[in-house]
Amino acid sequence: MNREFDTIAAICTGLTESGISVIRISGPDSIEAADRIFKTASGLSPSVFRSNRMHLGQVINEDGSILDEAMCCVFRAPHSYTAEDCVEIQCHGGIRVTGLILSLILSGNVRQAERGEFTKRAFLNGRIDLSQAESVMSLVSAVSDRGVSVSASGLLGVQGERIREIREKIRFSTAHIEAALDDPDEISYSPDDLLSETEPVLLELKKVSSSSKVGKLLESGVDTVIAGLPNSGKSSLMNFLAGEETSIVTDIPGTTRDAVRARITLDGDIVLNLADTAGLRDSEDPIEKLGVEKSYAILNNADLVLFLVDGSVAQNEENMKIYGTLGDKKTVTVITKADLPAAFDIDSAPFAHRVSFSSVTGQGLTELRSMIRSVLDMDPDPEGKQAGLMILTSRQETLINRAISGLENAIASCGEGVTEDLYVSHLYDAYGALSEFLGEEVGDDIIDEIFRSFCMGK
Amino acid sequence: MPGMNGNAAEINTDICVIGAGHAGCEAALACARLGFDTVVFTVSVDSIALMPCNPNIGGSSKGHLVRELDALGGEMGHVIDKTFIQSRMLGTSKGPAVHSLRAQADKSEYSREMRRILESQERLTIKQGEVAELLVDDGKVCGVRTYNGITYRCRACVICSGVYLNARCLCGEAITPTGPNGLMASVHFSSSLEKAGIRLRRFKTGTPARMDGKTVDLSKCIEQKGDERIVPFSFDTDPASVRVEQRSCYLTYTNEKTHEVIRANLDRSPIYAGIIEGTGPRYCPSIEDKVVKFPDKERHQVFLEPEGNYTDEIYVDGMSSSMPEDVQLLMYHTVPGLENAKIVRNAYAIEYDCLCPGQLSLSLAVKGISGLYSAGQFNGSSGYEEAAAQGLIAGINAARFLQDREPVVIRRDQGYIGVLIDDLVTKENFEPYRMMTSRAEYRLLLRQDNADLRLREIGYDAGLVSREKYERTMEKRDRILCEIRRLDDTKVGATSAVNGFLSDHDSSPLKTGASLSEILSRPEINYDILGEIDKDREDLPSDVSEQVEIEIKYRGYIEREKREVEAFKKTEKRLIPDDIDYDRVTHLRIEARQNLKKMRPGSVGQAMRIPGVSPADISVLLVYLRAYGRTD
Repeated sequence: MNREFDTIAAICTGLTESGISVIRISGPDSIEAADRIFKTASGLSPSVFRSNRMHLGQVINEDGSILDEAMCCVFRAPHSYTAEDCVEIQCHGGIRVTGLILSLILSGNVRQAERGEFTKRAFLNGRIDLSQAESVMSLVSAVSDRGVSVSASGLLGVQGERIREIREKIRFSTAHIEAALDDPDEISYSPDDLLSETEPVLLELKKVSSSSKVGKLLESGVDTVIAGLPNSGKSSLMNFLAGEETSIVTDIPGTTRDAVRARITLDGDIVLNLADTAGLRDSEDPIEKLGVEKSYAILNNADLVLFLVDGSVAQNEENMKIYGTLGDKKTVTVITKADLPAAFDIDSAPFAHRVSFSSVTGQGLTELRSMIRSVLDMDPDPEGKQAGLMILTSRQETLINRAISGLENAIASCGEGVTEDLYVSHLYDAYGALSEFLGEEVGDDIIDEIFRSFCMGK
Repeated sequence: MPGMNGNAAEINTDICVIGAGHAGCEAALACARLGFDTVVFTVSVDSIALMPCNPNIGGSSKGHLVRELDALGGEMGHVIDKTFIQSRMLGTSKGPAVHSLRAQADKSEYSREMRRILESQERLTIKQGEVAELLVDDGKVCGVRTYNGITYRCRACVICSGVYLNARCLCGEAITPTGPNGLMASVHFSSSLEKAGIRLRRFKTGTPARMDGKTVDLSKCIEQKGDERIVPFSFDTDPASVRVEQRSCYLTYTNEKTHEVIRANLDRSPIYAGIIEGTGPRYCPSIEDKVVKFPDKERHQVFLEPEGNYTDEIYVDGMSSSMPEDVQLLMYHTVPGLENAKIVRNAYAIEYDCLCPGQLSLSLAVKGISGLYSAGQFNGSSGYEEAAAQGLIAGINAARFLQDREPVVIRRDQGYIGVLIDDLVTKENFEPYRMMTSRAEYRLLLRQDNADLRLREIGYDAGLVSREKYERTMEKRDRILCEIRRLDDTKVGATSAVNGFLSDHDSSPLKTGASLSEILSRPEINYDILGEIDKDREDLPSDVSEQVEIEIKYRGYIEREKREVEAFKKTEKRLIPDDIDYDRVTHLRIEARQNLKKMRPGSVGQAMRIPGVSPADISVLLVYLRAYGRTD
């Protein structure tokens, strides 16, 4: 069987103890597979279901016993997510039950879908374009409320629209240059035209890029490291935040997240992947030294550092030394143990972005939250940022960066006295990158633009 | 000479070329030169290589075509070098990729010169007459029949019918069933082609009025002189031989008054009154179109160009029109310099039959009828140079068809000719197609100055370029490569002599040693200047040093295009089987499926260039082709 056209199945919802899980089957044998495991109370099989209708029924084990109560919906080609025959089964959450249902389905002529394979098929089948495909990827892995709505707007094409507008401006500049090259008698082009036409576009693209960085943090969570000298209150803060905020305590594999103890959602919209570290103290003890080295490695990869300074003991050199190593890392200095008498003048402490906090009383939590937002450059007003917010996958980010450097190269080359017939190639790059972003062909649209915007020829 | 059968109404030949315009001349010459008895038909022997529109050859990107044509063994370059009355290299303030040669022609001389070449060509017969019928037997071309009833038996045929098929000229309400310049239209051939299964459509083009030069006040216009140093079109022409007394062109402008006249009379324009059915070019629009489509433009340029040394007639470049004669008079008289001008020939629009897209192969063979080739405006292009370029390729390939050899196909990375033909074959072009530099993806590689290096070898292999010319080009190529290598390998130190040289030319001093090519790549240094610190170098001809300089100065950009070409070639190499059934390629979007079925691309690369075929469709196609390849 051709791997591109066989039948695949997978659990579409995350593997967590959520209320409902969805299993999707796609491919020519999907309805047959559903027939094997699903019946309504009145004995109907999915193959007789009308398309796009939900049916309540039961998932039946091979021995005829009932495994779970579930809903089943058949989507017939091409009107499905993948443009193939598709079946979706909604069952009660529970990792174990969902897993059992999937294994029932997989026992037939159906194989486990690879990561992103449904979307890939949707894309290969011309059902969705590339930019939509990646939004779906984002949707699947978005973990915060705001992340979901950003992904949803991408799905609806808002993200594509914004890029499309930028692309059109680049197209105009390119057409302007080409028109002047082709008909120099009639149309002129000067370096000033390049600057006035492309600099605003460049600015706009840079905004997209930086808002994406925010978007990325929203999507996957901000890798946050709690650091400080031993006994500065790291575990207490960790436990406090984990108790106070919505949190999933988990071990997420990965280099930076080896030490993640908790994933918390601050105010319901900023996800922090919290990691505790070993105390950062100079030590001769080889084992402790190893721990400290590891802590620094984690620190290097963090998006945010919560640097803890014990407010109840006198300030010391070591704190300043650690603080110095943080450099331009986004850092909030938390002066802990605010419930105890302060041992130094906190107001004049040499730390930027500091808050006074107590894990015992919760004093300073509001300040801590807003300080984190301010350091992450995340406006507490969701409307304000969200309008321009865009989550980019790494491929999309590469394309946006390619577009940015295309524009920058054009401007730089122009400044060096390179002629426009040459530097226009950088604009084509930028244009091509954004077209690829949108998953759209670059046909004769530059030429069409030339004729639309310029009166060509004698 | 074509042989006569016992039957006087039948003549045998190898190849028939229908039409003796710019495409037909090149096609006929190529066929005869490749050893085949060839008959070229024209409705009037006096109209061989006629220039019924603008009096110039070349210009932006078209100049490239002429030079490529010359490198391949075409004739246009030779003829214009002998008959031009003004020559200019355009775009010299820009990079070398967009330098473009344009010459004003003495129209009459041009036509006569080409006719002389045709007449003196062995194996070539010129025949005045209208071809009325294409004879096809069992899917193969077997001859043509003239309106006079004579049958020419042949094994291949090249259609270069220009704008003559069912031509109709429009000048306001005055509509005449003629070809350009009042020449006879060809009124029978279209239906014969359609009977043979060829689908035709209507295109339109137009030309401005010619003024009596004695009635034009050139003192009100801006003079445009020719270049002092003239570069010939042909690589064979000795630059020293092209010194002529040049004529000037003159620039003037339309104004609000002109536009008012046009707006007030739009209802009398056949285009806006809906009388014209054909689609006109977006390039070189009529003055009516310019005024309507760009209402904010206060003025449009008008160039007054001499039609030749034999006549006073002046071509009003920029003001083609299909307005009635009385409106034309009013309109032209508003233009400074033309206030009292007398019109010798009216402006008019012309409609004609041409080929529907999707019926051509890259060899310019018409699909479905073996031995049938076509070129020029019949293929939906516009312009003398575009026509000539296709004519040469169609002629070569008609001959190669009879030689049983693989057709010559110029790829997009090899020449503008490749871009032109690929676009005509692959895209649906809803208007007469004009060459533009922006259509060429690899234009830094496709310069007018290196057309010989790119294409002479192909011309030689095809048999149209002599061994001597070919070897001269190869020698030039070797010398260029040698010199580039020498400049790369020759290092100079940061000595006081070198730094003194650099400071003399406002160039920053060296801190460490550098190669001569690194120094040459500086914008303020050129090859000549470099000689000051490179005293022992060989004295190279200017065409060699020019190439060396360009290759070194633009190396970064050139290398980049070369990399792109490599990627491009990969998709070109992924062939699509001729018998692919797009209905079986499930999941193609409807638009993509329709367009693929219509254009039937030969490769995935070509499929990618078909409008309406998205990257997703290409993925689908790729997946399908992979499956197809496996089951086969």
